[in-house]
Amino acid sequence: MTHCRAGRAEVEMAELYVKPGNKERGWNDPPQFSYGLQTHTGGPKRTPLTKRVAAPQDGSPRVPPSETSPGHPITGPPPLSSKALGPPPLGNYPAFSVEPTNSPVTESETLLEEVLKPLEQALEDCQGHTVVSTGTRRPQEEINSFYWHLSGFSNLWVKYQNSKVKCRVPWTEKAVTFCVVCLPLSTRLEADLEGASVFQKQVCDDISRRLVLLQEQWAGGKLSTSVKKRMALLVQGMKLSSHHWEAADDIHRSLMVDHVTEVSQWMVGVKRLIAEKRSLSSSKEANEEKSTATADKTQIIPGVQQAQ
Amino acid sequence: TMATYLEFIQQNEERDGVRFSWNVWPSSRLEATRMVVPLACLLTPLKERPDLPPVQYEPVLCSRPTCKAILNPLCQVDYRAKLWACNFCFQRNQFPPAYAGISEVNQPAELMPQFSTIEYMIQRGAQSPLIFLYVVDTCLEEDDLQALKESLQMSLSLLPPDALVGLITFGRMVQVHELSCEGISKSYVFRGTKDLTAKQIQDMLGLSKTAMPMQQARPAQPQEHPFASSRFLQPVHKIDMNLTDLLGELQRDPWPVTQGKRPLRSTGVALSIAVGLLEGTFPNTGARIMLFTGGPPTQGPGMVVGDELKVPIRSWHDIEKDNARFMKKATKHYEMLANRAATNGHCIDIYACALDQTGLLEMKCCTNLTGGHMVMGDSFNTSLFKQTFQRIFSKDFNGDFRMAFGATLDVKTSRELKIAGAIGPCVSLNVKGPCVSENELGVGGTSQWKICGLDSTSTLGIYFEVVNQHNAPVPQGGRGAIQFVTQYQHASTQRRVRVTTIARNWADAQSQLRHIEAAFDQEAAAVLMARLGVFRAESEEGPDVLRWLDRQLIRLFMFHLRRSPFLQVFNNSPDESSYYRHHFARQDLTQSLIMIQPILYSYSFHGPPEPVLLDSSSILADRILLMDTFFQIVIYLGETIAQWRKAGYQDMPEYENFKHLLQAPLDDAQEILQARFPMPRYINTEHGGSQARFLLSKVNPSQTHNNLYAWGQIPANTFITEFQETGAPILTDDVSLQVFMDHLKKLAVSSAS
Repeated sequence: MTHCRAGRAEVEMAELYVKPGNKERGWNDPPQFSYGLQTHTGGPKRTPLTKRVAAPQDGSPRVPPSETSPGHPITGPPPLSSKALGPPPLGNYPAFSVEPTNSPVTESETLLEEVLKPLEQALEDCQGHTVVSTGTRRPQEEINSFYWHLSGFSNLWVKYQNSKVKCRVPWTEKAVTFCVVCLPLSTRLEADLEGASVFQKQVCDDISRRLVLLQEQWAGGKLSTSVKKRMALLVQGMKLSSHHWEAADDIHRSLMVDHVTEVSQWMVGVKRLIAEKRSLSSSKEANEEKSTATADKTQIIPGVQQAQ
Repeated sequence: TMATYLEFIQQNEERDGVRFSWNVWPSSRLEATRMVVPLACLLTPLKERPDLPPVQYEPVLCSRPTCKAILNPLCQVDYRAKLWACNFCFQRNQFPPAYAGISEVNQPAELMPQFSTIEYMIQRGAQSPLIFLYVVDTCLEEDDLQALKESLQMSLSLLPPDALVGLITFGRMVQVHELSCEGISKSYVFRGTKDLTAKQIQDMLGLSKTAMPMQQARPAQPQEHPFASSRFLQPVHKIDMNLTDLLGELQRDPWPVTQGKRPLRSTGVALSIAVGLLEGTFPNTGARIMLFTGGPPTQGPGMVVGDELKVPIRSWHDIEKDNARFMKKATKHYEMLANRAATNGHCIDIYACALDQTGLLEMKCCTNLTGGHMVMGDSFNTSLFKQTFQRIFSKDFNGDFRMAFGATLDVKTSRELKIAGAIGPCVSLNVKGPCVSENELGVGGTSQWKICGLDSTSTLGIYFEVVNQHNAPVPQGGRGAIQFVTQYQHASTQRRVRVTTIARNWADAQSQLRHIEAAFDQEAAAVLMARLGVFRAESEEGPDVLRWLDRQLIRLFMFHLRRSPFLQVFNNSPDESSYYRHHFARQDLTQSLIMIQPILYSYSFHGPPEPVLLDSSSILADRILLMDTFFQIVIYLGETIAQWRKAGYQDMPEYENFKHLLQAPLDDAQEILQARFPMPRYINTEHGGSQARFLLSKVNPSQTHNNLYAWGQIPANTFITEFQETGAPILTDDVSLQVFMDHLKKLAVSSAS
């Protein structure tokens, strides 16, 4: 599961930014904090600025202390004309402890690789986790489908071309990326269609309509790098097991908060998909648990139930 | 003892969410009335307590019907007889059967001293989902409407998936939208000019026949709500796609607005329908009506101004001259709606974004009586609105929404005390009882209040009266007690009860005055007095309130309060005053103090940032100042700093220290901006900058153009060169703190003689 944490960390890194406010529409509009900064501020807090200086009892203004404190290297009198300006003192700013945490958003294109690497990592984790003793069990079919996803990237293109989702751009890295993001979503949809049926047709149509929108906007170059990157991560979260629904859902929220103009039209489809998959898998899990429980009755193996 | 009292006060605030003006109480009515500041407390009923998980059983109540206090650590317990004595009415009570096993070594949590505050989770009773009803003004500019639509779409991702959501839009007409999964949108259209009764609204929406009050007759199958309301209020997870489309397709109000006219905006009827819809479908269930509006109501009940642009919206001047034509009638309309919503446990938020006034003065009771939010911005397409709105849906450390609904606060006191009233986002529940005083301070005449919407910072001022007679002294070592019982609907939809029971020592004011003085909490007193002042300002004429306040003689804070927008209406529109007062009457102590007396920090090369006096002498050339007024964060570069920055020293590697100095206040400001609700305005300015006025208007004008050359020890002829070291003169006619204090002293002496 480490891949997911790595994924989250990556998202968080990308999400920590501050945009200037809309000064045209609001006077002194405050800066806008990204979803990541608003929700996951885990770092050490700065000292809260809540102290006050007691006013002198007689109300007379105090003598300002600064110029009387010895040995501070302000050179010369404060300039009334600009040419008299001395330089600031050298040395350390005493209150300074850490670099300001303004990590710039990296503006690199989301590549297949970037999606694949976490998958490989996830695979390793998965193999580790298939040992029952670790406590988390994955349904075999999910593991199979995971292998399929990993080995089947080359097949995806074929499948993609045959699918009802059509892409107008030639075979480029961009298209592959699109493939990696959109296709799993639509195959998931198909699987759900064939499968357990909680889905009404109307809802399915609604979701697929939105996925087509996503595809068009991606292919038309209308989506920013940040959105594409986070979508790749979101798909990561959706792929493996129910443990990551929350992560996928969180990425979806981050996209709605940070990029609502770009994603509002189709994101609600992805949101619904996450929700539907989640409830499907939880009901599946519940069923499995039930069958394990009945098996337990006959076999009585201590400790098995703890696996959940 | 000073340090210990400070610790005591701080501990009590952290554990119990209370700050008392007096922490040792004068033991007779006569002595108490001699104290200028009443015995009162600031109570934050749902103060965040990460270390306090709720217990999963119900509280044990005193069996006396007029008391019903809750078992607490102050009660005497007879473990052998399994009896407990109520510390308020002295009734002896049998423990319920579940407590059969209790003993000195086996106590339930609520008897342990560290659980002076405890929270119970009530298991019985059906849970109902949270409800959010959006009421959206469509008379907006295209840019604003688009931004608002996107914020609303975004909010669907932040809402709990099983919350019910509804949509009403309005312009000249009011539309109630039916929400369905079928993708066919249908809406009920109402005229915006005619007021309708709740019954009429429910009839027209087809709610009457099937309406089923949630509390009484709950259907056996909790899965679906089989009433008609489901057409208008649907679970988010079911209709999110359709509602996203519906919002996306919203158009500006189609009625043409001719030159020189305001758009016809039916806010009064829209709100009336929203209140009626919830009243008929989900009474006594947590619900938020969220009104988004971009201008004043211009027609129908609740109109604040006519549609002729040449007639401006009322000003303070108009109000003083009794020339605000629509004000009284509109206020009455919104008060009626607010009271109905409060009766049903629903809260109303107002998000008003426009450059001109929108009628907050008339509509303020909607938020103030129901515990709703009031947000005022310039445009929906600003970070101020967008982020403030997002923060409505922020979550706590447990992943639960920081919002609670339908709370009732019940206050119980020992016999020596009575309850005079409360000031905060609440309404009276008119529960008279033995502990209710006849003298009212704030909303009085009751021991219970309803708070329809609240969060972990919502704070009430509660005022008491010592009634013990002078000739009936409290026994030595006696303590007075107060219990606060807050029943509410948690964001997770559970019913919960938070119980805080506190006790304080009585002291004889003649022989033990020092004890009483030492336990005085000046900060709490300042905020509690300021709340009284603002409460009076809302109902009385301005100068009277100032005179009253001047008689109260609390130094410093009162000086700043006197000049604050909470009492001074000069330079503020009626809407702005309503907005500032709204926030002042609900914030906790720390935030309230910031509002009364802004915080000023100074950054220099000499050391870490230090707090400095809110005085013009703190404005120095080699300093950066950071000022927090709650509504504004101001960063101000002194003259030298500004020149250094202009010269680009921060970009030179050898002057990295200067770069860090410039960065430090920015980082501190960022931390405040990230946590504050509502989002403050952010002003980044420097010496001589036009925006420097935001700083200059707040500092104490110790040097003005009137006394500039006569001031202090510095000879007038050296002043020009010393000028930068001694601060900046402020052009003002306001009196300085010194003059103010001198005046107060004279007053105090003359009234004493």
